[in-house]
Amino acid sequence: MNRQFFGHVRAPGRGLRVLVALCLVMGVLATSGCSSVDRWKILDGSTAALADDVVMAVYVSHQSSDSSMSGYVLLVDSHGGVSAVRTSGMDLAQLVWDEQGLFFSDTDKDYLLTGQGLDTWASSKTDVQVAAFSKPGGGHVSVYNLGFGDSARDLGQADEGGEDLGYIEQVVDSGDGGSSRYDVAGFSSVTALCGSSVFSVSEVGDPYVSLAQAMGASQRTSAPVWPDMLTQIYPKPLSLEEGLKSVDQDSIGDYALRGSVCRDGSILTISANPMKNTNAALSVVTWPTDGRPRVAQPIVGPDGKALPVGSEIVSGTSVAEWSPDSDHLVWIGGDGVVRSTELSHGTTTTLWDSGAERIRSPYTTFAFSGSTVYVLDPVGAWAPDMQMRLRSHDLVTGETREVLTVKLGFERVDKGLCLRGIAIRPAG
Amino acid sequence: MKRRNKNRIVAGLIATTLAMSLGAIQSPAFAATDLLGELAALNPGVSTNELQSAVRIEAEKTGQSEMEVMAVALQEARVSAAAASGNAVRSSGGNTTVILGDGAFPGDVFISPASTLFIEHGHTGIYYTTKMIVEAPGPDKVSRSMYTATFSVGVGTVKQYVNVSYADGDKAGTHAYVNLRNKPYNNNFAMNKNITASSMNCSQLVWAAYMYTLNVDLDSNGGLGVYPYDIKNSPRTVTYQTL
Repeated sequence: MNRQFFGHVRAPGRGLRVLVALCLVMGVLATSGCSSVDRWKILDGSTAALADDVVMAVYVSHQSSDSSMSGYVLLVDSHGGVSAVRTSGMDLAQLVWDEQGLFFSDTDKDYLLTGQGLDTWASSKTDVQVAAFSKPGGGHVSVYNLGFGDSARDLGQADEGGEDLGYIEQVVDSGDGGSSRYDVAGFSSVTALCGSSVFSVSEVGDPYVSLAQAMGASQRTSAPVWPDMLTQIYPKPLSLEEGLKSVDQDSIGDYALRGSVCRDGSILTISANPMKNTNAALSVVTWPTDGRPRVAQPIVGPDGKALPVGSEIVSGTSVAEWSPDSDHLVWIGGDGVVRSTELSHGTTTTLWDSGAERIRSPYTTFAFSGSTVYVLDPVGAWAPDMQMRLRSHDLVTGETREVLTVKLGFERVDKGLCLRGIAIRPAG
Repeated sequence: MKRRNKNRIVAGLIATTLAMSLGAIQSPAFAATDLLGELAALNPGVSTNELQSAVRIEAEKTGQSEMEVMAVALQEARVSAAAASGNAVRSSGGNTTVILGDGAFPGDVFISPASTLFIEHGHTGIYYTTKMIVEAPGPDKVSRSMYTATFSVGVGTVKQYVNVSYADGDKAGTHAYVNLRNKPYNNNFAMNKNITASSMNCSQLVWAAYMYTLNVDLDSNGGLGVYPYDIKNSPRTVTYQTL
């Protein structure tokens, strides 16, 4: 039985309780307020609002390789009930839930869902998302994977004019009910918000080659042929020279795809780049955004020996913004194990094991809120209507705080839908 | 009899036999239309006019009749669809998607169950590094890179290495990354064996990467088109993981 999730959530008002009761009694509703897809309550755009008892949002979408794109943002309440907002779909979609509301996007629009209603505005973009951030001064910025420049223009998917950027990502700046979009060069393996700017780590791209060479980059004989560069991608730099911050000849793009953080102007992340003179599979990376060199420390155990984990966990790793002090980085690996790494020497302590291996399951994902980590994973064997559980744990001790079980049922609705981003209601 | 004429007669007999076995009916004109229609149905997104034009070009290039070209192309398309359907995800069985994840070597390939506009042909891509693939995702989309940690594929997907050296596999993967991401999608699987085409579909991209760099032909059954399951069944590919 589900306990009341989130002690700080207020009980739904009388009006909402009446509406929910009507939905339950009538099944598929004739009112304009909502309809249903099986057990989901579909929220109509004109009347949708973020109810007080919604604790988690989940984006499910077709993949970009599917012949038709569609998606839903599922709103899960504290009793496991599910409402849904239809979208046109977005592969690898991210959700941002902040004091402004719940922000999300699809190929045609951007959305902001609040307790007062759903704002949407036209915002055309490609169908694979890379990242989304909450801007400090309000609004949101998000990044999308478009593809190679020339053909993208031919298909009307890239900005006309301007220099040839080679491989393109789109940056969308959203706020005050509107969005603007521009292209940047690169295919990001890391994106991070530092202050009010967004930075990207990507393999040196065509327009940056000569600049990167002047900084010491050289082409390699095996893939990846160019090393990584750090560029500012938001706000849009006035020139390539302004955007390019540094390059690192030893960086080969193998970073934690699920989240890097920024601390004191430096990007902090976990990497599987092989390092000279060590057999450590992983390293903790500090990459300053002011042009200073990237620093990588091999990750070792308290005994000084390489941590006995394989590099394959990196791609499913997420790094927490919260840390017990400025010298440590707390992260949950793709193997589900939570670790704390001391930045200066790479000394790493295993804290606890969540049992959730994201690298093995497309139904498992993590989210952070302060010193709490949320794990969404399936209960038992797969079924189209399987139980999922959202559990919250103290990030350091692993103590279980709350468990919510829910049947998301998205593959029962449409077997082409995949679990993408999740967001948890902010505390307070 | 000149060798070329003899070959045309023999090919014509083969094509006629194929056409009869494929259920074509009496009139040659009607049979051609019938074949073209079915070929178009198995290559969604390609009009019969486009196919007719491609058939004509191929016939002129090879000296075969258009009927012969269509019959061979249709046979390949049917075989591909049958092979792919045998690997299709069954809705009554287990979970439908899994994470693709790392490959073993650059140049590895994956073949996953997938349909294009409701025709089951499978999907394939090539590893540029062990953590990044290059793929032609589908109609109206350009070929691009994707990280394998966030790439979901159908259950039953296989990862394969190609029976070449590590360095050669790396060359093929790098060629795909550097030169083959600049491509709109080619809906025509039936006649897609062009290694420098301005548009490419998924299996064409993988096949072209190996053909261009190493002259290694991953098409297991030859012919005019290369489909994802032709690559899966190639004697040059070795399955090392099934998801």
